Amino acid sequence: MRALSNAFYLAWHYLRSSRFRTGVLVFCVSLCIFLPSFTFVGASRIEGELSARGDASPVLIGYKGNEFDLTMSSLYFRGTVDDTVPYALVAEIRDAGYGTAIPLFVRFTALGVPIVGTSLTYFDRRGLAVAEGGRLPAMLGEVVVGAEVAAEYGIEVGDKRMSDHTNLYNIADAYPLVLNVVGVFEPTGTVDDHAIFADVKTTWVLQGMFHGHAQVEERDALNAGEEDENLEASAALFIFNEIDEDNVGTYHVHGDLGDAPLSAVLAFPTDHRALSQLLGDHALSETHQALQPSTVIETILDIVMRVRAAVQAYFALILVSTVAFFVLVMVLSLRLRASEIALAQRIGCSRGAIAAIVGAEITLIMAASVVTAVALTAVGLLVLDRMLAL
Amino acid sequence: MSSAVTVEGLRFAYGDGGAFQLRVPELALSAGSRAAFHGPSGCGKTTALHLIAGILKPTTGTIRIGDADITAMSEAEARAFRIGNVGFVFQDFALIDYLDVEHNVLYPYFLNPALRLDGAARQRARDLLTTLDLGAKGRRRPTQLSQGERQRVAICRALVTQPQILMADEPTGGLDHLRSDAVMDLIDRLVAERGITLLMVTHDRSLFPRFDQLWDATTWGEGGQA
Repeated sequence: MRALSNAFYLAWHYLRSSRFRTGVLVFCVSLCIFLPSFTFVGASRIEGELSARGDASPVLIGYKGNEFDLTMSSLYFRGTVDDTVPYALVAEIRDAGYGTAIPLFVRFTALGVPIVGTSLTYFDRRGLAVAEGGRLPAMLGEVVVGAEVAAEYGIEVGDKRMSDHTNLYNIADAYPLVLNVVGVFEPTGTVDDHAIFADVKTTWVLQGMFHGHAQVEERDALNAGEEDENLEASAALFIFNEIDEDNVGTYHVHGDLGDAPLSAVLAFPTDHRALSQLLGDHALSETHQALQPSTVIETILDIVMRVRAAVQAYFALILVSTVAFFVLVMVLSLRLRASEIALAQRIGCSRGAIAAIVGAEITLIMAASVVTAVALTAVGLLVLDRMLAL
Repeated sequence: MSSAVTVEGLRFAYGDGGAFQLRVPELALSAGSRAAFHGPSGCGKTTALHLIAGILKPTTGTIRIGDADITAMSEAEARAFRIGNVGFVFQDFALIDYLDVEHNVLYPYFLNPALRLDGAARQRARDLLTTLDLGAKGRRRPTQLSQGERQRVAICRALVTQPQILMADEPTGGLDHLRSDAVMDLIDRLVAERGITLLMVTHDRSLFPRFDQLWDATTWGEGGQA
């Protein structure tokens, strides 16, 4: 034990005295440990994150089209799908007894952050809890923001934020709406932290289908003087761009609410039978598709796995070259220390003790490299986690 | 007076095929005495010193240090015996640049767990450094010392384990006469104070009067240079 502690003592002094050489070695070995380990752990983390979201979203029903786009838009709020499904689909699924159906309308943004129109059930299913001092949206125009959005933009309960204009060059488009922040969600470490949530009807207001305006007077009517009980408003009619208790009663929809657009319906079948029936009901549909996000994500992961295998083969080559470099440096170092080793032997040091000193030196370099690599991996994973949630 | 070193029928072959043959005649060195090998370069003085110290294994012959027959010892036993009983001063000082002066003196303790690096050993190292006017330089690196100071550190290292015998391989080889005399005065004083036997290799004739015994190594070697 004393021989070992002596060996480490001498090795420590030697490494300290040749800081540059030690630093280069530790850097190279750290990278060799960090790169493959981070790739492995990071890819596993991505797998886990994607799979968890997929597993927590049993069935997604949307317009028949690209299933990746539908999954990315509805589960990760990345991009939008142009084609929609009617709101009536939610009631159909519920009425058929297949299970819970949650509407999702992801098309609009505020501060560049996606606004997710949904129902209160979504928050229950995703485990989203409102932080103290806030509440869930109860009225048109009210929103609850994700934890990261609140932190990034300094948003608090009681704040107002304008939704983004969808098309600056289309003056006939729906106008931006003032969104009243009534709550901030506790952080979940998921993509929900990076979105703004509203009742689906609020997103229909953004879309223009739901709207509120001042009473149409005869002077504002395009068909003034005509003997028709329905006045047709001209562009002079004042459209509200902020919903409050005074004007909320004027909001209405022309036509059937069942035709209101949704990006997708997120369904949670009650059992396996309901799942099969739900998938079967839409299998032959020409306009809708029902998909299991976990299957879509498996396809994405399959691509990730192949990339990871290729990258790890590349890292293996780097590892071999670094080991060769390490051995070369150690051999050169021993040559430089030949006089010290000869002295040790002349004084009476055993070969084992000399090997212990060299071994202690390698152990210290490896230990420093592992600690550095673990620290780098931890930092890398923190960055990755933030990127995954974006 | 008892014998500190006894050599009988010592033979050693150096190089491939034994090109250099060394034959050392019978030698006896009494405890506490001062002796030296002298002769031209390459005659085998250093080889003889290394054989007596147990660093090299002789082909034939017997070497005793005190009561111990080091030729009968295994390599490991010889190493253990050497580190505890023989102090060595080398011509090139052989100090470790990455250790400070005090740790250089204590270096043998780091190499052999049989030597206990305790408070007494550390105090002994500091006392030796103080004796040799290096007390204030214990934390300096060898590269920060003068040549004479480095040689003194090497002497401290050789004595810190309290050896029975001090072997010095031309310890004044690189020094001018003035410094050479100063180093030898120091060695003389230290071995006399501690009752240590001194066996030295030198070719400096001005130092000869300092020794009790002198052996001319000129005729020990055959077949070239050691």
